[in-house]
Amino acid sequence: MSRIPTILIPMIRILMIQIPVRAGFESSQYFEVARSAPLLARGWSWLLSWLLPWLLITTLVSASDSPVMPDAPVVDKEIASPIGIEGARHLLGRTIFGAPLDQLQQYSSQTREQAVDRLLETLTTTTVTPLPPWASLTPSNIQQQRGKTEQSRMAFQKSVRRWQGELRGWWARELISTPSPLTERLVLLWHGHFTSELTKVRSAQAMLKQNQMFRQFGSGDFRQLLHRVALDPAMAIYLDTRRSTRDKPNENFARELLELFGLGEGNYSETDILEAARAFTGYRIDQRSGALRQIRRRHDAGEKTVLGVTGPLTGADVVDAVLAQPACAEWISRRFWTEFISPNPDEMVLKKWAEQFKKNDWSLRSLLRVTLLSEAFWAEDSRGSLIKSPVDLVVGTIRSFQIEGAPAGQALRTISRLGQQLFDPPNVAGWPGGHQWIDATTLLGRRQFLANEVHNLAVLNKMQHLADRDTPAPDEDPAENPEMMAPEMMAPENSPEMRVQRELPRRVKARERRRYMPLVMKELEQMWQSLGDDSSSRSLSLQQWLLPFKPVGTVVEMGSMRNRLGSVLLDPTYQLK
Amino acid sequence: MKFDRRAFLRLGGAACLPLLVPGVRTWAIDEETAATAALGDRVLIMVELQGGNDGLNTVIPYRDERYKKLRPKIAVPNSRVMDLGHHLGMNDAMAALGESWDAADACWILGLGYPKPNRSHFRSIEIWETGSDSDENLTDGWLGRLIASAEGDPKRAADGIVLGGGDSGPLYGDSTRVIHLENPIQFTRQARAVPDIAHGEDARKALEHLLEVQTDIKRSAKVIEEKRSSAPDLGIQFPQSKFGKRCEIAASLVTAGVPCPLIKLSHGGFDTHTDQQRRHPQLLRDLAEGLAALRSALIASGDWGRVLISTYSEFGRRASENGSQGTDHGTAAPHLLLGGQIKGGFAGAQPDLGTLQKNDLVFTTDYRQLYATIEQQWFQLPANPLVSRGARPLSVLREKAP
Repeated sequence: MSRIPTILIPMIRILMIQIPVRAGFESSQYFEVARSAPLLARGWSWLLSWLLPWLLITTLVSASDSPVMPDAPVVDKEIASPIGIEGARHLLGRTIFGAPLDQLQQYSSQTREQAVDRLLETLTTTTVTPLPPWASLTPSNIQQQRGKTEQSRMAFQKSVRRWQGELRGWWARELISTPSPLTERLVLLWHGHFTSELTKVRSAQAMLKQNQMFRQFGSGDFRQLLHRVALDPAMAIYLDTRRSTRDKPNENFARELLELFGLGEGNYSETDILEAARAFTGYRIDQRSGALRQIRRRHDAGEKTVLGVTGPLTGADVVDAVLAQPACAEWISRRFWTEFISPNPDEMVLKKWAEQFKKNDWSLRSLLRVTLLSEAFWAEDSRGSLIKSPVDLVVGTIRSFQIEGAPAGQALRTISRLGQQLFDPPNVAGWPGGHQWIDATTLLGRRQFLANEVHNLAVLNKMQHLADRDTPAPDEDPAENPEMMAPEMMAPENSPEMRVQRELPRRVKARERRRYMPLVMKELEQMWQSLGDDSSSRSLSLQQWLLPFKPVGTVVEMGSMRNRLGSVLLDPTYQLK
Repeated sequence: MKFDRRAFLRLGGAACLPLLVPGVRTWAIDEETAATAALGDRVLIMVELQGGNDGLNTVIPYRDERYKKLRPKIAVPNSRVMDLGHHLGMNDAMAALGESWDAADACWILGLGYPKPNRSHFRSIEIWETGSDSDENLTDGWLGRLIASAEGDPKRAADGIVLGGGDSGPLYGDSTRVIHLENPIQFTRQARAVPDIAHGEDARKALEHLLEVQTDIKRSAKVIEEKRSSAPDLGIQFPQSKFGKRCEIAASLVTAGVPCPLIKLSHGGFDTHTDQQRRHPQLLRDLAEGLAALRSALIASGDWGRVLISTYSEFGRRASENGSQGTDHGTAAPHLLLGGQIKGGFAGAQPDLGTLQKNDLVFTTDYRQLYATIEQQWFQLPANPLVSRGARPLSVLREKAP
């Protein structure tokens, strides 16, 4: 019981600081404001509404924990105590690109298990950004648009390129404004694992479908996910299964299924690939539905042996054979380790995870839970051991500073300039990541983003926010019901096309900068004030919020919030997570 | 579409096999000559013609009746062709390079390509950049591997400088230090804002890497700034086109003596599916005027003898025109070498218009022969199967260096 007061102290402190700040703001719900709330102008009230029940819960939990189970083995002190701001930053930096300080504070008072479970609760399968109007076009619709004349073909090519741009914009918008960044983090993971490149696939529709498939199955049953991948039309275009026939089987998909998607090198033979390729023959993309279907006379129905399984195997049988290999669950466990923990997996631990993974019916959510609750994840050594991807850096910064109203197109351009073109990983192995994210060009680009562009984003966010406030919201929030967004029903100003146009990257005009920058600065100063009682405690919490460990450069201790913030963001450690 | 460290490793062995490609011979590496050699002060400037340059309207078989038959609408009329001899002529949009041709420091290598040509922009440029076979996937660029095979030089500003956008392409490699510049002034300014941070005792690899790159930036910027501040103005007018400006920056780096063996420039817009009579000459004009100004500047500064300029592109274009006064993706194409050490004229052989394959030219000269030339004759490195893939160099340099 003696622990409770220590838990309470930081929270009481937070409350004391926040109460006066809160007064000026109307209450709003987190999900609603996620898109356009200004820097720190929101959140205190919902923080409060969460904080109070938690206080109760943590109090109760810790009260009931220790005395009731006197015979329980001694629980590691670390595991049972609150993760603190540093722990929260580590957890949220690795899983949801980073977060605003108030969100870190919420998580900081929880134990590892509470925090991870709370995070996992946010998983969803839906998006809030309205789908582009072309999303539902089938291949035959698209074929019609193509037309026969040279002119219509050129116009069609133009549309295709526009769709591709809008597809990237759509996902960037979702990454920035989703209430469930963990879901998008997993979609990004799968996009980099089960790669397809838009430049080869060309169809924005097919790539969008694939992206949604990752969302739908990405935290569910891995077996289902793998089967879906094998039947995914964009994948069938990318790795040529749609052209693979009995007479001329194409190995492309079969090889990657074994090498990159399911097992990893050394766990199959070249013969397995040849035989598996025969199983993946006869697929075509149905022009009406856009789905993949098998044409019997093109399929090789003969007997094959893949990974020790013999019979007239189909593609689905091969996927099952892959899943039956012990290497499969380990391969995916390895992916989770390198994605969330560090570049150096512990082989023994992977074996254990793989067993658990299978025992939990291949639940990816539970694998993620195991990953995030592992000792390795929380170990001091793994803090700051990963280099942020461009998405981590850009989306994370935008989300941390709550400038989600800034144009997604701007963010998208920066992300791609820094080496991560969404929907176009460099090759079938996905983004190599790690050290490869950083070279002289991208490092200067990252600094450029943090020194200047982020301020422009804040200005644009401010402008957007003020514009939104001046135009009353439509009755129906399209974000809540994407189904409503049939093209003919859309008011022009709300159409995703208009939105994308609004979101095209643009320069901030000097006039706009002069006008809105002071507002942004004012909010920064308010944020600074809210960070602590005095200058040094404020400085400390700024660093704890944004950096994985002590800064290696000089952090400005004097002057405006902008300067202090600048010196923290430009410290090399901000590039790490 | 296969990423490949594996194939890359396999290559070491495979390259020892005879490659059944014209101009490619059997290999064996002599352990001793394979020891690393230095690149010296020679500079290679690679110019990427993005989109696939139409070789047939660049170096034109204008006396060949079949040329006009294949291209009834877009064939370059005789009045617009500068005769180069050997029944070939240069599009007169490139007249700015006439002086270079007459001075015999320009060489056209004809019919460059590779077997089983790929007609995708992305895949084919990847093949050219990595030096791979059509059905093989390599990760590192061929020049990245060239850098890795030669002795490093700590005084270099960088191993390679990429000017005006585009990726590192052929320069890409784990151990190559490549700097991308829009302009050197902006780069040095940005770099000045980067703090000097010594590597602490923190052993975290990720941080260590970051600090290393940061140190590289500072070092490159320092060298560039120093050299440029003492460089004389050569008084050469560069064209104001995008490409012209890039050439000007390249000239300023080389004439200032910025130590860097590789520079990559790109010139975009060659994907001329339509309206070729108007667009293509303009592209060639920009190219020729930019390169001619670059040449003049390097001659004026006395650097022309240590510079080699080479164009490359993902492919040539279809021999026959399409229905919209353009050309579709094709195969073999000529490329231009310029430099004070270049022996003027032609190398390779012009593809025969009578033996097309799927309406495309059949290559006569493996593109890696160009790479072998650069590797073994220009940089005077021992032949390395990872760089030139066993291809034979062409005889295009004036003198075999000592």
